[in-house]
Amino acid sequence: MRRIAIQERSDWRETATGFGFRFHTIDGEPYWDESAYYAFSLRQIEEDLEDPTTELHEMAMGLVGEIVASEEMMDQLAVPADYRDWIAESWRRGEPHLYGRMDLAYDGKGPAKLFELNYDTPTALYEAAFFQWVWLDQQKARGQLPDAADQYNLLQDLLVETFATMAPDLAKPLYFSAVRDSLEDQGTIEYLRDCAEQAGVTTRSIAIEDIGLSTDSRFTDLEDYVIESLFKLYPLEFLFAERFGPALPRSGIRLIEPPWKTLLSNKGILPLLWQKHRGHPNLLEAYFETATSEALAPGWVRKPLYSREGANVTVILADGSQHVAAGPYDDSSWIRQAAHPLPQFDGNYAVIGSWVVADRAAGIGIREDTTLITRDTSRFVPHIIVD
Amino acid sequence: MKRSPTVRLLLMGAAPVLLTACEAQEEAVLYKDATECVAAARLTEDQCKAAFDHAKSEHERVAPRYTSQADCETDFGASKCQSVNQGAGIQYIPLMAAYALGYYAGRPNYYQSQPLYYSRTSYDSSGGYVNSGGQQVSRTTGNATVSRSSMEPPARAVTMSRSGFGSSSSAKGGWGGSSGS
Repeated sequence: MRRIAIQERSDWRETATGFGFRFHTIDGEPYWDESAYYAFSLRQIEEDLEDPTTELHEMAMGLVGEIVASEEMMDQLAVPADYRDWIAESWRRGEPHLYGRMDLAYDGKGPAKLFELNYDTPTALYEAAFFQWVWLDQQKARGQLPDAADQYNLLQDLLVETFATMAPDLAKPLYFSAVRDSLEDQGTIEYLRDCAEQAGVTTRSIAIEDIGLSTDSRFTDLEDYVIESLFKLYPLEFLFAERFGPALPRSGIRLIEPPWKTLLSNKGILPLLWQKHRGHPNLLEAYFETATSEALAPGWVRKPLYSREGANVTVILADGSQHVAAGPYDDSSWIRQAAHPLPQFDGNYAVIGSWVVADRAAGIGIREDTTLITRDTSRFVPHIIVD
Repeated sequence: MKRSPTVRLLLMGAAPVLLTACEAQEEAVLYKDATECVAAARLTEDQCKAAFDHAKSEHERVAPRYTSQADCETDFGASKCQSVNQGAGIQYIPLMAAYALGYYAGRPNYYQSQPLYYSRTSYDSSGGYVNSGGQQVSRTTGNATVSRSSMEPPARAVTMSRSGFGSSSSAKGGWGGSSGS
């Protein structure tokens, strides 16, 4: 695994515009960054990333049945009591899931370490699945990269295939929803909607703020049509806490990701994985923080159960240096995880987002940040496979 | 190769490539009323009436809605629209012109019924029956092969409130303006 500087395509911004990629620059800061790429060997991809992703995913899936049957675990994950039956029911009915992203620390040697699972509302999908693919294709065509260069990226194929598999059991149209004013979230659902259409699924989109509630507790679109199937790029725990939340269990709505997926997106899954697979080479030691936990010691990280984009994470490295990311998620319980510094390449900390589509490892996207905690300010850097 | 052999965009890109998906077909029958249904002798009189009553009871709730009578009559013909008021002011809906019975695949003898409307503008303006979602079902009554989705028209409901979701992103301080991770 090496970080290699490369000339940007002079016309990449026009290409991005032509392909509907509108969030390549966020608040004036670069997000898509093709001034460099990461090169992996096929062995690194297959043995160190793909296989562990499959295994970690299976380990996580293996916990869901236990969690939904255990009030104690539901308590540990701080799952709101009013929604527990609904979540458990979605699991027992086998409601299918679409995708997830696990964040891994990996430096080219040794086992990748699982930081967390983003299994409810993962983003950075379009840039990994599509724009990264186009980048490689064009750089090869222009002689900037060798013809033999490949990429670990089966995302689009598997997304389309999974939508096609789900389609027969989904009421149509399938609605796609995200916060109205987030360019990034809107871009992500636009891409997923495109994949669904390619699979022959009829789709619509609606801003999460525009969803209506009917007199008979069903969710409606702006023309009063009942929304029976909804892909929501909006955290399930937010939906729970909001005004329409109580209507969810009786609305009959089918969600993607399904309700049970929130259990795996909860940081509490990390200590539960550690309890069950203590010492697994891809896991970091993790515990629930309790009232009697001592002050955070050097070599440990503290994360809220519900948190996104690195918010409210505190790291104390072995040398005692403390790194804090502020954020809004200070009202939940916490877990502690052994600190494992991200590898640094040319002054950039790189985290690997390893994708799972349905239940298959599907590819990677790499995000870099100048700080140890990967935030929403990170940059997406493409990768290739060369031997 | 460790990557998708092709990628494509239908909606997102400036130049979409359109694929036509095959849609499942199924058998259905259309009747103008219970009398025509009984005459066809495929269902008993009780079944015909029950199916008709069901479609009729759904009609006002699910029919396509217009804010002007003229717009409604453009699609469905002069004197073929009625006014309704379901709490959203006066609206115009077409008269129920027929009803359709679809057979669920794998569930013998189980049928559902839904109201149909005779649209002058459907079938390239030669006219035909459409469902409450405006989807073409068949040009004529009687036996028909229809797309499965036309037998499952979108349901409607009376919305009483909106903006019940989406408050957390602002309540959480607009974290990067984004809810994903």
